[in-house]
Amino acid sequence: MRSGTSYFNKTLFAKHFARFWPIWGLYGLIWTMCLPLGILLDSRSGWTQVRARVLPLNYLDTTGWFSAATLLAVVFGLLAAMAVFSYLYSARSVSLFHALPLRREGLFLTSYLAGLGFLILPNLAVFLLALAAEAACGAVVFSSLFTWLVVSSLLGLFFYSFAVFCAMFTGHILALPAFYVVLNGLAAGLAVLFGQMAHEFLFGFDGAAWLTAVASWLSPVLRLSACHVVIPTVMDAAGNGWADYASAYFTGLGYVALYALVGVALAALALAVYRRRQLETAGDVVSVSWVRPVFKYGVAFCAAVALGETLYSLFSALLPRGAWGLLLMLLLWGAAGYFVAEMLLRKKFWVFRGSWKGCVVLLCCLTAAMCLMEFDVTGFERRVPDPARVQSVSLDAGSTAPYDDANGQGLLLDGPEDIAAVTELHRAIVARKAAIEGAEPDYTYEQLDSGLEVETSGQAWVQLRYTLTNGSVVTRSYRIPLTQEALDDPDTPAARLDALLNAPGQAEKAYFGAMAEGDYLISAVVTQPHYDEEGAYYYDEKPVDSAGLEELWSAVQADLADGSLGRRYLLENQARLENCYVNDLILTFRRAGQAARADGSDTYSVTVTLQTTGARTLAALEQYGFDLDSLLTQAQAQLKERQ
Amino acid sequence: MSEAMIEARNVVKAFDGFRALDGLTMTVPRGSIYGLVGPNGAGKSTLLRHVTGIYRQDSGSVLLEGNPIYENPAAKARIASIPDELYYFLSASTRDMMRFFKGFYPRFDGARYEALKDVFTTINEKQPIRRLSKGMQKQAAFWLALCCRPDVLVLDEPVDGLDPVMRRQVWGLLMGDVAEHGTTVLVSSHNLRELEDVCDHVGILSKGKVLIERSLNDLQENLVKMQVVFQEKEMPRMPEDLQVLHVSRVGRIHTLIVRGGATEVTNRLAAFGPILLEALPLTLEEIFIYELGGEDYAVRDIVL
Repeated sequence: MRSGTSYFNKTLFAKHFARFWPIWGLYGLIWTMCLPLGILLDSRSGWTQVRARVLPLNYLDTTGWFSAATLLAVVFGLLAAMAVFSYLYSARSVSLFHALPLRREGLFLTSYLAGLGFLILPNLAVFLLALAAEAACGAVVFSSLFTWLVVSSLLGLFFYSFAVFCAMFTGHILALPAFYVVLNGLAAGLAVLFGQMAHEFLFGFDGAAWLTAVASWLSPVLRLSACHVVIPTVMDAAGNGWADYASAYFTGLGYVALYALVGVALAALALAVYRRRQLETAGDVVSVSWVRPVFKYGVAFCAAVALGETLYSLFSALLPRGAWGLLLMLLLWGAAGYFVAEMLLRKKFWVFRGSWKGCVVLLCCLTAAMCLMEFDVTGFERRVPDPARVQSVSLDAGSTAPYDDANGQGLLLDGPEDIAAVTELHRAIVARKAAIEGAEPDYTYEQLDSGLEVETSGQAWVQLRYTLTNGSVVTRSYRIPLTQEALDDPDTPAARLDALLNAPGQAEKAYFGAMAEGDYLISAVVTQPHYDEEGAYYYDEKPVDSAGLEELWSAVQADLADGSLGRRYLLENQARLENCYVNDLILTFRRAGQAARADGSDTYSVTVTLQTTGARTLAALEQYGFDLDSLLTQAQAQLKERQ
Repeated sequence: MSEAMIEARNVVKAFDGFRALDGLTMTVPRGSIYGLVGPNGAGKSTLLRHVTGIYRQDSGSVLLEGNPIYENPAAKARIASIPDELYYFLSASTRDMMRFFKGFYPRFDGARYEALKDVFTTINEKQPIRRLSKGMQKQAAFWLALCCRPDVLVLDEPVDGLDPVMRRQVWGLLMGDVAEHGTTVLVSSHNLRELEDVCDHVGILSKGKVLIERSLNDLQENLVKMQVVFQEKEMPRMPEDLQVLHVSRVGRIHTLIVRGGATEVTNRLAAFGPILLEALPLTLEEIFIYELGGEDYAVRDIVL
């Protein structure tokens, strides 16, 4: 009497289509408006092959936030799943459907295919209508329309399957969209919150690239937003670039196909869950017994991290700063989240007596996690790579004066001495953890007897990125307090950072690291800043005689090489103000092997702030007619401005 | 072929640790009308949901002619049910639901559907069922279930909401099916009086177990109610081997509930030379009270 063949029932399939026609009807209508009708309306102003290629692809483009295809797949995938599996959410409908002579596989597959049909069949109809519309308008690009059909159908497959997967874990129809939305962005959200928390309380934490990457893949909506339409740029014989719309193509087909495969896997998992589903859970927020504790502790944990972190930031002025203030908020919101989850699971408000032990366990875990972080049990904060195992290290110190083209340029160091110097800096930072963390972010200025106003304290953000010999990467970032006293003491992190930034050869790398061999100087100008009567800033450019360009370039290179030019300053102190001119030298180069172009795309410029110590550069400028008396140091300019 | 149409063997089903069915065993003979009675929360609806293949038992087995029912479409195609809480698709009419069921039940009888229009005359088959009264919805459920031509009809509180005339008609139809086609009917109720007229077998449930199940004849032949007026005012001492379960007295009339057949007990009591001696049939309600003799408070709840 066993039957093993009833895996599909056409009556049920047709019933789903008949009952839920507004869903597939609206979905089809929207696409009909976008494509066949869109084509017909567009054709009134001339329908070309280019338009026929671009119009369908526009709906796949995610240059904004979501593509239209992604948005519709997200929304209608959810609606379709809610509709065809709505029978699982009431005891009455559960009884009707599961008393029918059909195995659960049959119920699932029939309902699943019906829901999928809500998206795929309208897509097919719209595709055929759009093809006919293009043919009627006189220009057909089959590949473009077919790409739209494949991508929108695969997106529909993934998001619908994802919603069906979520549907199997709940017995409440309102919980389904909540699960669906939360799970679509949960990983990314948690990664951001973890990052924020770790940044604040894990000394030196600079994000975890692997965590971000994993979170991105686990957040399909965000990952798919990276897929977009590319319009290639074509260079003509005159060297002008123009967008080749006729060759536009969609880049994310691989991602979309991959997610579609994941969708099929999720559908298979959903079937496995459905086969084991206890139908008496209709009406429950969570219908699978082993997921109930996951849900409870998951909600509690997310509430602790999300609300705890957010409210800690909002009320930071009222709370004690530091890990223990945050822990207080984490515990408070963790407990709130725990009991709310318990209320949802048990469908009543009075849940405290039976579940407080679980809450205590959660709070202990949160406290333990915070202690792990705060007391650096893992050794993360103390870890400084062994220089012998470092292949290279990049150092980014953020903004430094003067604010020319070397400002913000990171250093990439691979010499043993440089690497050792960086690890020494790193050790000095770690050794002064308490002092660094205790120092309030502070920018102070002081007026000297001369009337000059100088910066006496500030801070620098330093990022270290070690590439180890085994290929792994260690990154850290720190806020280093800066004072004149610290800069004067060679053992402090501030002084070590200053020394690294001004090591011989670094300035040349910072300015001209991107310069290719064969590029050559074609012009140079010196800027002359002015303030007009209304205080508006502007500057003139005084060109350097072309006859002196070669000599000027040699002088600049020589000054940069021995550190006479390109000195970096971490504070706007007296030395910086007296050494740096307000005038910049702008050097323009032409790329090797490129002819002159009208739009200047063959050239690039590098701005170097002139410094009083750059004697060879100044001499070269003077030799070719530049009046050095017209130069002003920052200090002179400041005093002049005050007068 | 087994004589038992439906069998439940040591069925256990727990909800959040609460055992709704606690090692339940039940046998429904083929062609019988089996009444399942029990107080609220005894497990009647839970048991019926196992019999219709909706719930999966934690342990034990639920069988139709020896074959498992759960996830067995061939078995389920032979079962039609009317649950206590009916469900129809939004805006679906009786005719729509007929087409729906027709797609699932291979023996669905379209001709009978047309024929039964004459019975369920108050129902407009094209009107959405949800807009019908509760009683009419129940009638529609009977109409559709009967058209499935099931071997087993499972009814949970079936005549709630039906007027007396319609109740009689519906039971008439069911008994006609039982007589003509050998249909087995499993019907649950919390009220013994309702089942007394139609059931030939009865099982009583309490706390997830079947406390007792017998044919109505067995039950009635095993207990007798005797009304006796003895020559003396006081009742004489009864023989040790006569099992008198209960004695009550109004004036000089003694009412005795005695285990045994009516003839045998009458003969035994006649030996006392009573002025009046009469054997009366017990109601199903009384049978259960005296059979279970207050062993379980739940039994009392059923008959009150």
